[in-house]
Amino acid sequence: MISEQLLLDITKCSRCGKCTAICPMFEKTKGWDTGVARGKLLVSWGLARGELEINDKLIEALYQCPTCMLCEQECTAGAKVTEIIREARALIVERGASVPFSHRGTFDTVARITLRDGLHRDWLDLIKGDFRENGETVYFPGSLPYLEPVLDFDLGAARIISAAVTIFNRAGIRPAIITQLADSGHDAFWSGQYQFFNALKEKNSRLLAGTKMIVTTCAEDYSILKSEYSLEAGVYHISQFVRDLIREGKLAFSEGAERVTFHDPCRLGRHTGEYDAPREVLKTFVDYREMARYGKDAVCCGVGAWMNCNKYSKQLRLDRVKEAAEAADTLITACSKCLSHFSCLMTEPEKVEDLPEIKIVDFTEFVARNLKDT
Amino acid sequence: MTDFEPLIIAFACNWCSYAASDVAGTSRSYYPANVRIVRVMCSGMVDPTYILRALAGGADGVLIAGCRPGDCHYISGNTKAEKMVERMKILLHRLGLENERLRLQWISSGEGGLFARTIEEMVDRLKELGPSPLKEGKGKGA
Repeated sequence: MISEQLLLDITKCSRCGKCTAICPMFEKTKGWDTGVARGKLLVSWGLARGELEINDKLIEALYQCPTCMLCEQECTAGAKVTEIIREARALIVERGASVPFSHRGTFDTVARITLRDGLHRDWLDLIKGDFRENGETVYFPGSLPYLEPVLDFDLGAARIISAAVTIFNRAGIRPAIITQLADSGHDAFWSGQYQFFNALKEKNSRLLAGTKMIVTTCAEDYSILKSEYSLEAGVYHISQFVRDLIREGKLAFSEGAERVTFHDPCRLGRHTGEYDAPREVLKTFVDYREMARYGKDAVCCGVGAWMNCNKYSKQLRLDRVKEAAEAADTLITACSKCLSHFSCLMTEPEKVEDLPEIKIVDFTEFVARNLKDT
Repeated sequence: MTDFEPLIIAFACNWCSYAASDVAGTSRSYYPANVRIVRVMCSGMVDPTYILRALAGGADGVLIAGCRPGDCHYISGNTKAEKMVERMKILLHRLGLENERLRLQWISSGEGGLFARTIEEMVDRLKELGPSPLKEGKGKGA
């Protein structure tokens, strides 16, 4: 149910149209008002008040949005757009409609399987480095080992997880990697499947009880663990963890001449407000360049929570990669979702017109690769 | 478990393996009744999610049966299926399921005997492996 407070928020909207000018998705769809925040708010209102019936158009209106928060940040009325859209999605799910996931919902099914107990999850052999299976300092790779086999290109799950372990080891820590942890529930939460999310949250909270520090390599996992879980342990994104290690003088890098730029994942940037940590880290050892739109104004990679991957989100992705290619030779991102979306685009150069040449690298992997041998 | 009867979901290609199951029937070959056959137009259209949902929904094994290499009605659907099955075996292993629960078999349209034998072999192997760990809490899955 959309709360009274949020319904009031919808009435704040003065239909000024700032969101129509700023929404990157709307720029591509060029559709009706339901394709942009002010229209989606009205749809949510209608749904909450029982004035609208659930049909394909309504589902499309509410799910054709990566909830990147750009409109919410710029909203002149200060309406909590993403929260309202999420609650409206929850209403749709509550009334029995299914979520229009991309990849035919494979990742949702994988998350449901991770919820089951009694399975001997076997992927620790992917990891090079020194780690333990229980402890107070936890590295949370989320569903990364499970994402890779579903996608038909190399996402580098083994490299990313090993890179994170290497960074821990350099700081003299043996991180705990708990294979029994379920999916973080980010996608369940943002697709409006609250019941499923709560089950995931309960399982993970139980397994994470008594830990002191949790580090994630994925921005989506970070945002959800930080804002929606109530954990005793401190939750850090790997960029913050590395920044702190550099400040303490525990990491040394070999300097490179590569021109590098950073794509702000919406979950790390606008959702949780961390813009500086990855930049501070990268600036210590490479020629760092900024894209035309960066930090608070960064544009989304096109897809949020494995929903709405279509021709529009692919255009968004292409735009972003082109923008990055103007600024640098390597595009770094700190979210496994952004990484998979950009990498997916780069796998089919023959199918995409004027695809620029650029390397897409995960933040964790890039940092570990440039560590100086000591 | 002695009375355990595994449940197999078979995705059979319309142009070969589904016909093979028909041949097995008309030639009165015996094969266990543990299999539920889903006819698909090509083994290449079987999506990872079909396999996962079958397993999450209580199947003990999944069989994907397609045309022999080079015989695909759509030129390359079966090679696509082969790659997909390889990746899914990795995924099942990482998720903690025995990857033998997933099997890919090339069966051309005349090979009713091979179809029957494949099901028999799978049932035997699944009986050794026991029920799928996902089977408990049936209905909780996708």
